[in-house]
Amino acid sequence: MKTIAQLSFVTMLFTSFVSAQTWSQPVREVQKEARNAVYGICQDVGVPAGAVSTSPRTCRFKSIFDPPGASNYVERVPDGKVLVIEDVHASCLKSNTDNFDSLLFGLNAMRPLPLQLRANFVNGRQKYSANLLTRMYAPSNERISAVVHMTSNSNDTTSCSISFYGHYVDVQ
Amino acid sequence: MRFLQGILIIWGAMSLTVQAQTWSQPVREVEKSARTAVTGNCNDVEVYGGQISSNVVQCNFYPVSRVSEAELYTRVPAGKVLVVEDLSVRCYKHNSDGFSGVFFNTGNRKYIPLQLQSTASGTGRQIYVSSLPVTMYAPAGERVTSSFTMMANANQHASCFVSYYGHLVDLQ
Repeated sequence: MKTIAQLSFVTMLFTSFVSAQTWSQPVREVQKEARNAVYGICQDVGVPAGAVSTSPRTCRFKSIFDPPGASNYVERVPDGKVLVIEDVHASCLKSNTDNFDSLLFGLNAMRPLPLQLRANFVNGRQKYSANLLTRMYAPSNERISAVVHMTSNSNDTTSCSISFYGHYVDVQ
Repeated sequence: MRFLQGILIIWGAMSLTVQAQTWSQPVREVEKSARTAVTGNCNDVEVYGGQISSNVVQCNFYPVSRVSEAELYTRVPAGKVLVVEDLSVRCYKHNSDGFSGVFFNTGNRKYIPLQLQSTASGTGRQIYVSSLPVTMYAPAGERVTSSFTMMANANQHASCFVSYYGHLVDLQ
C-alpha cells in the first residue's frame, strides 16, 4: 500500500514537471534575425575638391559570423535572399566653407541620411554624423550604394563612411 | 488497491497527452515581411512662387523584387494591407520661405518633422531632410499620397521627394 502511494506521488510529480515544461516552452522560431545578421560598410564615399558630387560607391557586406577579411564581403545580395537593413551609421568630414546637399544611401542610393554637426575642428574641418533605425529592403542580386552631393563645387575634400547592420531573409 | 491503480493509469495517460502536445507544437515563422517588401516614391511634390499649398502627389509603390511593370501599384491591391515601416523625405526651399507642414497620407495624414541639412551660400537654397521609422497602415484600394504647405505664399519654388519602405500583408 505504501509503495503504491509513493509510486502515485512520483507519477504526479512527473506529470506536473512535464506540464510545466509545456506551458513555459516558447514558440520555436525558425528564422531569427540574429542568426542571419549582416554587417556592411560603404567606404570612400566623398567628393574631391572642385567637384559637387561623384558617382555612387558600392557598399560591401558580410555575415557577422564570417571571420574578418575582405574576401568575406559581397557587393550583391545573395541569390534567394532579401537583405533587411535595420540600423545605419554615417560619419562625414568636410570643410566649414562647404555645404552638404545630401548623403544618400540604400538601394539605388535613394535614401537621405539626416546629418548633424558633431564637431568644429580648429583646422576648419567639420564632423557630421547620422544614426538611425530603419527598415529597408534589397532583393537578390541588388547592390547597396551611397553618394554625397554638395550644394556647389567643394573648396576642399569631403569624405564619408557608412556602416550598417541588418539580416538576410530567405525568399522562400 | 484498484482505486489507486486507476489513479495511476489516469495520471499516466495525462502525461502522455501532455507530452504529445509538446512534441506536435507547430513551428511559427516570425519573419515574412521581407518576402512581401515594397518600396515607393512620391516625386515632384511642388509649390511655385505665389502658391501656399503643393499639389497632392499620388505615390507609386512596387515589390522590391518586382519582375514586371504590372507590379507598379497606385492603390493597395485587393486582399492586401500595406504596412509602411520607414519614411524618408528630402525638401528644398528658399531661405525667405518657410515650410508649414509636410504630409504623408495612407488614408490618415501624418506630419513629417523636418531637419535643416544646409543652406547654400549665395543662392539661399535650403535643404531639409527627414528619415524615420513609422508604422502606418493602408487598406485595400487606398492611395498613398504626399503634399506640403508653406507658412505663406512662397516667394520661390519649393519641392519635396518622399520615399518609403514597407510590406504587404494578406487580409486572410
